[in-house]
Amino acid sequence: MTTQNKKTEPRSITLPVLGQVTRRTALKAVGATLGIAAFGKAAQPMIENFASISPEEMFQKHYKELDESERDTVLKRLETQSKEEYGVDVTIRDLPPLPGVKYGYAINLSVCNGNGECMRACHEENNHDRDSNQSYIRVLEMQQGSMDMEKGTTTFTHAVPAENKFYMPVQCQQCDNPPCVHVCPVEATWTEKDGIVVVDYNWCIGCRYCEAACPYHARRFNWQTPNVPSEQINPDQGYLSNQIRPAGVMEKCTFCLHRVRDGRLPACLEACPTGARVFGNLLDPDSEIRWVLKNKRVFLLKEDLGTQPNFFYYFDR
Amino acid sequence: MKERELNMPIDPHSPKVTHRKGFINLTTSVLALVLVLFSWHAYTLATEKKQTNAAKPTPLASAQKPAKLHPVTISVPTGAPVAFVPDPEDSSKFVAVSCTTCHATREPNTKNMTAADMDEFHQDLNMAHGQLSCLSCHNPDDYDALKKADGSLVTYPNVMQLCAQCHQGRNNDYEHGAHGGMTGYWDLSKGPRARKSCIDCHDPHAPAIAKMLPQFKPLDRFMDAPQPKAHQTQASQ
Repeated sequence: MTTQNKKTEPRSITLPVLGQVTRRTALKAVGATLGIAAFGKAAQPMIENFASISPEEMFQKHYKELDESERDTVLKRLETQSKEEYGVDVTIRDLPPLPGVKYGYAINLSVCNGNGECMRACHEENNHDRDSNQSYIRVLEMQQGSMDMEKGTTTFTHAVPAENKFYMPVQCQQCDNPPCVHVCPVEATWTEKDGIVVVDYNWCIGCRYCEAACPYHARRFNWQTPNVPSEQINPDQGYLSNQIRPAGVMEKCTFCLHRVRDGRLPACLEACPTGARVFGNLLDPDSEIRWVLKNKRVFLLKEDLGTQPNFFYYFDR
Repeated sequence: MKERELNMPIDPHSPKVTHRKGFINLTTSVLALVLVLFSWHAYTLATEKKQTNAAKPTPLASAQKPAKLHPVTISVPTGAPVAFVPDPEDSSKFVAVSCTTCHATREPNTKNMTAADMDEFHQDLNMAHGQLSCLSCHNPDDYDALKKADGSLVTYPNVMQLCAQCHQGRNNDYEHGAHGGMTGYWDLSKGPRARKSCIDCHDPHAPAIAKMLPQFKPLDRFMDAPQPKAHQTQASQ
């Protein structure tokens, strides 16, 4: 009986105010209003984000397409931004790769004792987020007899070196065949002529494919704009390395590009209290790194993946 | 007959073959000429390219290294160490004295091996360097210098020679930049480099590097969960 009633008198239900509107239309209207509100809410971060980005930043060309004057304008703009936001005079340079140079890095695992000063140096040098103690290096505590990086742990706090453990700092291996570069959907990351894999922070869309692709877990994501107290900001900055990154982009170790292209040693090497790190030009047959490659038992991390790292590990004995 | 000829093994003395050979010679020489011309063209292209590249700095090959390199300095001691002893005229003050000040008046005791053997001075010394005794390295003829195993004198600024006589392997690594901390420039054509000496990191009396407590930990979601609280309690223990 009830079903019959509904069928025969479908128009009897009306809203008290809008007399002529059917229930269906009213529901549609409510749905549409809710939908618009939800869209507005969902789009809010994007709108806010656009508001915080200047048109110059928004429409900046890819790093490789910038000519010299455009690049200078970008560097000036970033320096001004640092002054406005942090009240610090910084120098952002864009040093070109040195001709005839390809960087190589080696760590002596017989000497490294896992004290982690390299992580701190990286943290301070590269203007990392202070809230998360971000660093491009992870010092892994590994069980002796195992080379499985995935079984290493990072949260050890006891005195080092511990019994039956060895310590393996892992950072970007600057691969010749970098999976992170291959997966980037927008070509925001690439290998420079000196072998350094860099990121155009302006071009990166933050999809984090590269983070997933890297077998060394070497890439980092900026969950927030790095929180660095003004007095702790390193004013010696490079466009492709340690400039203060925006939120939502990927970043990675660049062997301290702003230092090494100036001829200086990376910050992690200078900070190492055990002297376990060796850095130099792989193309110079007389360099320290070449001597290590020739005379030490050198191994590559996850060599079987074919990533062809320019980062080497060795043991004395 | 023709078929048989084709199937016949080639006789190098037959005139037909000579004719064929001549033909081949002609083709190869023409080909060679073309190749020579082409490669000459490629060469000129390459040299042109080289000339345009010449304006840029040349690669840093060993032969082309700039003659002027910045120095590598090693932080060795500048002279013999001094001891601070109470001033005999004013006991509230300390004065710096050289080793020979005391040792000139005392007979060297070759039996002294560790701090436990000492009855008057140097009792606080932590001596843990293999089976070495004091006079393995210290020079009983001149306490302001050291001595090698062959008895020859080594001054304090040359202390690394003393270490190297036993630790040749380490010294070899050091000389090739594969051992020991450093700061400055990897590229010595751009700036100097400062290196630590053996005794900057290793106490000559107890050279094993002491255990360290890790001070810096990224709050990393990788592998295991961050434990800032556990870290604090453990560090305070």
